[in-house]
Amino acid sequence: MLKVMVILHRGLKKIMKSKVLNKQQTHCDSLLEMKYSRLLSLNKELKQKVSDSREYNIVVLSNIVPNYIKEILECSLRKNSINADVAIGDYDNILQDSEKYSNLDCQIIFWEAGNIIDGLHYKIELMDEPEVSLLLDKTKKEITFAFNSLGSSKLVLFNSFSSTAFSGSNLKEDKLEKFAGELNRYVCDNLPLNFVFVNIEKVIAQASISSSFDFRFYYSSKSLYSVEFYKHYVEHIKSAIMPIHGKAKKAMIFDCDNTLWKGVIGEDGFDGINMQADDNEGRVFAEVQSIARSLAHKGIIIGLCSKNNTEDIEEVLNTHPDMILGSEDIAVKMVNWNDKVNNLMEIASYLNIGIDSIVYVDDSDYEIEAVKHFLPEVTTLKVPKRLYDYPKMIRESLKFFYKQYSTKEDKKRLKLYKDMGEREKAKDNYTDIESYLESLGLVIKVYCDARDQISRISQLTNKTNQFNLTTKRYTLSEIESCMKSDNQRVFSLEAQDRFGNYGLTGVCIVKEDNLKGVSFDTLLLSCRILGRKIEFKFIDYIISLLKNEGREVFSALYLKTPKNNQVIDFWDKVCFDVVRDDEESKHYKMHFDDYKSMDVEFINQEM
Amino acid sequence: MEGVVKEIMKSVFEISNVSYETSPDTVGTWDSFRHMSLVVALEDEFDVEFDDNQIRTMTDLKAILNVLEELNVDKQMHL
Repeated sequence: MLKVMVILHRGLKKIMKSKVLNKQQTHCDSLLEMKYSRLLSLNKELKQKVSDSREYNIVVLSNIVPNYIKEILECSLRKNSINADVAIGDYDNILQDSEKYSNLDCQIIFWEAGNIIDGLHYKIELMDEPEVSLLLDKTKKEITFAFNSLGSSKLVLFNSFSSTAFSGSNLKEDKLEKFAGELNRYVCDNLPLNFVFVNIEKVIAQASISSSFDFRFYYSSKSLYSVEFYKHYVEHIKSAIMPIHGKAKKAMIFDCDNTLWKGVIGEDGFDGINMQADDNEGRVFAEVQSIARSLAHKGIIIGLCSKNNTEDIEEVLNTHPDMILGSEDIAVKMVNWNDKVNNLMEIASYLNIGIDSIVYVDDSDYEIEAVKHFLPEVTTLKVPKRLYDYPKMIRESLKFFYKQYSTKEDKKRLKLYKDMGEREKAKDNYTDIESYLESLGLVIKVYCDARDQISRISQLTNKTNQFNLTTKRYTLSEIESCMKSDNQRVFSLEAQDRFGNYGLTGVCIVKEDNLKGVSFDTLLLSCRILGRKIEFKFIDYIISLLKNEGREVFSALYLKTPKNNQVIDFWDKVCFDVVRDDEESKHYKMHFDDYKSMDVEFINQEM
Repeated sequence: MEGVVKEIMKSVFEISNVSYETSPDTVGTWDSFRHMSLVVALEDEFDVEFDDNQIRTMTDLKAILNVLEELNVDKQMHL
């Protein structure tokens, strides 16, 4: 005992000396304060550190580009020793990806109201009532689809629909705000229990409207939110992910004097301590006690750890008229004159919980620093000097105790919902992606050597990286001469659905030889129309056209780049045979007799 | 300043060396998403804001240093 005290004392001296330094350290360690470049390099360092533990796979599904979240979320979780890996789904492929990634550990959905169709944030003001309600119905069905395909996932974070980026300063509710509101009501009414509905207005409020959005990249790349926003977002949702890793806190242990009440029982006496709800100072403690009591009701362990005479504390607990916290709320009491470090260790072993499951609240710098030093796993809260900040601090700490399912009833309902989900799936809504795509009413139009499209075509060859088989870049004049040439043809593709036009979004350049052969020089699709099987309809049309013109042998090429891995087997899918395969490229051939149309019946072609 | 820019480019693009030849053509990871990250990381570091035009031109070390100079970022800073 004495030994511990001595160590404690020496340790503490050291701590006090380095306190200023430490403070700076922790300041920089907070992601909110950290420069983005520092965060990137820290994330890399942490990756090594956590690489031994099980990978926790998260995917972000979105109809905007949420790219910054990857590093920020990874870094934040890795700091808590979670080996997180964050993937970003394909742009505007929420439904497709909800099926594809349903077996990952966690899915996060960023569904931006203003981009439900391209440019909805401004187009909606010119839409009439029926148009808006058609779009609303479509989106509700899509939401239901995502609910169903992710109904068995462990954890889904579903962000609220928000119009704040576009109508944050409007006094009157505009159409987009109303639209987002209706979707939110629908989500709340139907939310599966494994989903957490994240109110992103709270995040925007934390970060402020003016620093949440970065429109520079919205118009060029559909990236809407700033790094600042994502930092706050990650901070906000972290508490939902931590418990899955056993990192939720289980017990909140309080000191007594000047922590549960104002005053020192040993000096001020039974009548001298204050926690009166109608007194300016007492009120603060009354509120803290109420919060603690409600935590106890939710199954969180509340305990006391105090240097006092046991009898004094018992008397207060059992007979003081202003006590809100009662004996029945308190699961463990360590009231003695031993040091707190040992007492907390005893509490942990008595409760059979890890020391890292404890949150400890005390008013003394000495005690807090000692616990921090000897038991760094314990989360410590020091009663603030400004007492009015004390209840706020306790309220904010509630996130440490986050539980996804708090009652048995919740778990029962979860099962019920899953069963219901199956039935719902059968009778209503989109049964699968195919039926969803069918409902979109996709129409494509293919042009050949369209001179008025030269600049857009050239731009597409230069900008498209993912769905691009050869990644050949062409200037305006090169495209023009392809069009002029007798043995080359430039096909371009326009796509639209019932809800809007995607514009010119696909290019295919073919070269014909003097015999009966033809080769595919370029095939690309803009990422905004991926996941809709449009590529198969496009290639179907081109191949059958060339076939009808007497072409018999088709050759094609896949040139590997760091970005086009998703089309590595595209030619295989459309029945081409590999004739040469090296690390950098794959060469294909196909005889026209072998071609099988993909029969994408739900896409129509306008001639 | 050049050293700091290089460090940022290294961590954004996950590469071990940066030279005057480093560009989207020579670095596979330099796509439009990472370009945004680069822009934001530089802005955060040097406390500046780039406009559209500048963002488009910042596709190699020299161009980035030029833009930073345009914005009067002190060359001696962060040495």
